[in-house]
Amino acid sequence: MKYPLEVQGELIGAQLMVVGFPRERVLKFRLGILFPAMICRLDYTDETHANSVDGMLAGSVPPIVQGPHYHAWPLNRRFFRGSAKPPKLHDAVPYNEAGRTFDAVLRWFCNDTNIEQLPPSHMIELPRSDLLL
Amino acid sequence: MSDEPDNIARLAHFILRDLSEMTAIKRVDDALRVTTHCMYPSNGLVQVTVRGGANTVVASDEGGAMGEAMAAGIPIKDYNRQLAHLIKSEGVLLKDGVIFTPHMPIEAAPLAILLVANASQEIARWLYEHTKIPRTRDFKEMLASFLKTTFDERVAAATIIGHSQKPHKFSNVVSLPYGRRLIVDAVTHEPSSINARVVANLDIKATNNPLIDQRIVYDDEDEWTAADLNLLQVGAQVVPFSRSADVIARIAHSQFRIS
Repeated sequence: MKYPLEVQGELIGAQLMVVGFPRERVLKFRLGILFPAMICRLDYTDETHANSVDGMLAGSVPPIVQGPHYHAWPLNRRFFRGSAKPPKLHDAVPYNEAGRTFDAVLRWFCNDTNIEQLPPSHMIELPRSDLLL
Repeated sequence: MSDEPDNIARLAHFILRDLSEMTAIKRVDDALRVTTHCMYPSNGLVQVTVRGGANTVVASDEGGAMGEAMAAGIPIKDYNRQLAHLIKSEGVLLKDGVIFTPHMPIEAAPLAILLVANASQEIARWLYEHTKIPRTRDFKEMLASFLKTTFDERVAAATIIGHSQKPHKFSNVVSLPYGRRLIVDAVTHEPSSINARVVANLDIKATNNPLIDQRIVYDDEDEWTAADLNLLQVGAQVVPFSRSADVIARIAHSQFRIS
């Protein structure tokens, strides 16, 4: 699902992207901001990610992250070259926040990326496997 | 000098331990999910899922390569034809974005895992190298997405009969209380689009139906001439896309108040 984001009152192409994995028994999803490529992403998954040597030597990221992790924009902006090629979000830090529900992680992500706080009645949710055919 | 063998042994132990931890094998329902040492373009490690019976196994990336591409913002479409040649020589298969092996003897499970992991990595790399992130925004899709988010099930495509009795299709018609409807019609900066949308809106406007309100939304990132905008205005009130959120919310709100 993609949700348009207003920036200073205008729709200028930024979108919040939510990727669900409805066949997974455990909570698994991705949250990211497309502008128009993915510029930052939180992977709430069981995946393993290897960081860049530069990032590791600079001390900003561990060598390897396992489980939920966050490709923050400040960690990855140096990989963007302004070309039309898909960017590679090489660096990520572990997601160690207390919130472990979809809503809690979504709110944390929105807060970290300066997306205005969602109202309590927001309708962003993951598809459940029991809703699928 | 005498320390050297010990150092090597310690290093070997350290590498073995940490590489093994990285490449975990995890039971997931009726299958095993193996994290391999192959890396996708953004450095995520490729995971391969293995399902098996008593004698044979099937290994699959469960769409991991496509997922890697999608997570970078690469538009997902049917790439099967373009990608088939990349994996054909290895004997693995590709269907609906999922890379998988045919049934293989259980003794060949490690080979199946290696083949799928490398094929998945190769396909993800191909997608990164051969696709471009669209620079121009698809404002029609964005408008539809905005309306869906704002009005949920109250927005839908609809066919409305014009004054001429000709049926006109509109992608976004918002249902408001008391039978009122708001047509939000996107127009692109092409003569055919302009003509079609002006005619359709004009024909609806001519019905003088008080329950129908109309707006034509144009992408103000494009360069429009005053003449083009004046022409659009003949069909219905015109709204620049960058202000559409405000304007449409205001219209919907005022419709509620009036009702």
